[in-house]
Amino acid sequence: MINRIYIEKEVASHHKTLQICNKFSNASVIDCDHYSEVFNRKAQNFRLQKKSPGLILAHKHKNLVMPAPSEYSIGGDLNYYFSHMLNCIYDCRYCFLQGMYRSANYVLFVNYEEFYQQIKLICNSHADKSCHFFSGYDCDSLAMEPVTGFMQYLLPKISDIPNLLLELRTKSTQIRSLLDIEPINNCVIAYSLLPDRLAKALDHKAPDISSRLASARKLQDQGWNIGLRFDPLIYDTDLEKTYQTFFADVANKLDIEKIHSVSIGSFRLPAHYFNKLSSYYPEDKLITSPFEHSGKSVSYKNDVKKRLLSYCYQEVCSYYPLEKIFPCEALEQYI
Amino acid sequence: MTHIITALHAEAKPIIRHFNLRKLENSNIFEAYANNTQTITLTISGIGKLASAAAVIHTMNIFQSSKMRSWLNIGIAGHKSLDLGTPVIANKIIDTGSKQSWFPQIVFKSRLLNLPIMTIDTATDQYPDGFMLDMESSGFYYSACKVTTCELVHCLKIISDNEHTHYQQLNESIIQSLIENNIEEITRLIDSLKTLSLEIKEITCDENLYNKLTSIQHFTHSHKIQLKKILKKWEILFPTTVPDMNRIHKFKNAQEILDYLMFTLDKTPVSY
Ligand code: SF4
Repeated sequence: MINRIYIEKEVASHHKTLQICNKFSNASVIDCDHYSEVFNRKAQNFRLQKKSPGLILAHKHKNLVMPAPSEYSIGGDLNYYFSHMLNCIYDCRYCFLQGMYRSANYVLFVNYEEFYQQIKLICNSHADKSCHFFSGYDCDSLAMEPVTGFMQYLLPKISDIPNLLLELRTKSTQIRSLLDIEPINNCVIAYSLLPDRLAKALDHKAPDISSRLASARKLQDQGWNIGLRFDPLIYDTDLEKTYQTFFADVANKLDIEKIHSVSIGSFRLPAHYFNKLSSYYPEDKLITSPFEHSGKSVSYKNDVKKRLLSYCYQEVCSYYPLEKIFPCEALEQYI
Repeated sequence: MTHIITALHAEAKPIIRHFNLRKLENSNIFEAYANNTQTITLTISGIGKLASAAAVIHTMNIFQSSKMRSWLNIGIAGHKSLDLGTPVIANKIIDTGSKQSWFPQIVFKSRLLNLPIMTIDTATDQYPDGFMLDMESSGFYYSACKVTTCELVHCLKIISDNEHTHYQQLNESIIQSLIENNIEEITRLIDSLKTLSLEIKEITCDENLYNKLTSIQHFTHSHKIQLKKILKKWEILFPTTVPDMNRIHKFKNAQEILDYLMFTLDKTPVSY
């Protein structure tokens, strides 16, 4: 799977590095001074690298945990995100990572201990506030878990921090490390979902919707909090029928009483990310959608967005209580 | 298209023969060769990283190279312990003069051994552990990455000298046979890069339709770029239908044509 591993000299003898190199004993090992030498170089093509990404093992020195954009909120007083990994094994056509990064190589920061210390420090210094942490901003939180073991490390450590909530955003069915432990109350496994037909066309290399729902159900039955992330919603012919069936299907397969939170938002990207995306995939149907540039971002034209969001919002409201629904963008003008 | 740069005539000869390359008359700074269809070209740079960097730029100019083309530096290299004749692709290039490093991205399937290489300024028989040694890779790679994306730029080296057989023992015929014996690997690598380069998509559209539309009204440069994008979308959404030309003839300017095409596209929902 991985044919080359780049290793920052600083982490060459880190136990995680050695463990991972053992796992991929056939990969070429190439040393580097800093991961950015490989990762941030100009003249790289994300689409070509996606054919066979390498793995870069590195140390994250600063900005381990960052304030999260406001649209990330699911009701916490303070919101943060962190990325123990950059890039993802899946290849969703709408993914913003392909606009954000030049390289499709995976970067794994092996200093897990410092991520934990930072999270703990933030919670301690805001003891009277609820602190929400989002993982899966620059990667899928669980897809590489069998290789990284990051959540296996972190979850037992954060379980007793009273003012913390951790969201693991995922499309993955790699849930063994979660099923092997007691469910953790202050953790939400948040599944990103789309109608099956759209997921087949757009969520390349990701598990299909029924497998995602089956994993979510397994976790739910074991007592884990499950969140639903209908973001990005994608516009399609027959949108009402498509989404009606989809939301009904999700509600059927899960125990909706126990759903922790639901968030909803339509496709949107910063304009320069979108331009990169359309240069990589000018022949993709997604690019032909009725988009418009507004300010520095690209999203569906107003009338389309209104139709998509108002319908989906109403549907979601028919299954879940309002206080559990969190819009990822300002919805007032569309619903 | 693949552009090959070699330092020596002896490295070039077996490749010229194998791919049936012909010398270009108009290339006077560096000797350059190409096959009939110009899908494979070869330029002989002479020894050294600066010469190799300059040969890349020269090649780009004479063949009007585009982003979709791949670049290969093929030549001999030293290594402490590898057997003579072993083909190796570089996975890291270190320029010993400037101390800069580059990391060629091998994103295609390859059974070739891959190792780091050091580009040195003067030949030596002191072989460092784990590295190949040559005199061109850094200049070649630096320059070719200015022209195309790094996944399409690679250095293939054939081990020509080691601790037991020093470079002073090399002569033209030995070098030729080292390359000759690896011509299959070279061909395979060229094919892999060709397949990879096809993944880079340029915005193309129905040229006939484009020409027809641009002959009806005056399109500025930016209108033309927009038109290409719109026609590409048209092809995807309506693969078998052309726009209503009767209507288009009635529009007063290019903007009206673009607006009409955009409007038609926007009201057609994408069906996945
Ligand atoms: S799962 Fe998320 S991070 Fe991964 S490719 Fe898809 S959108 Fe991007």
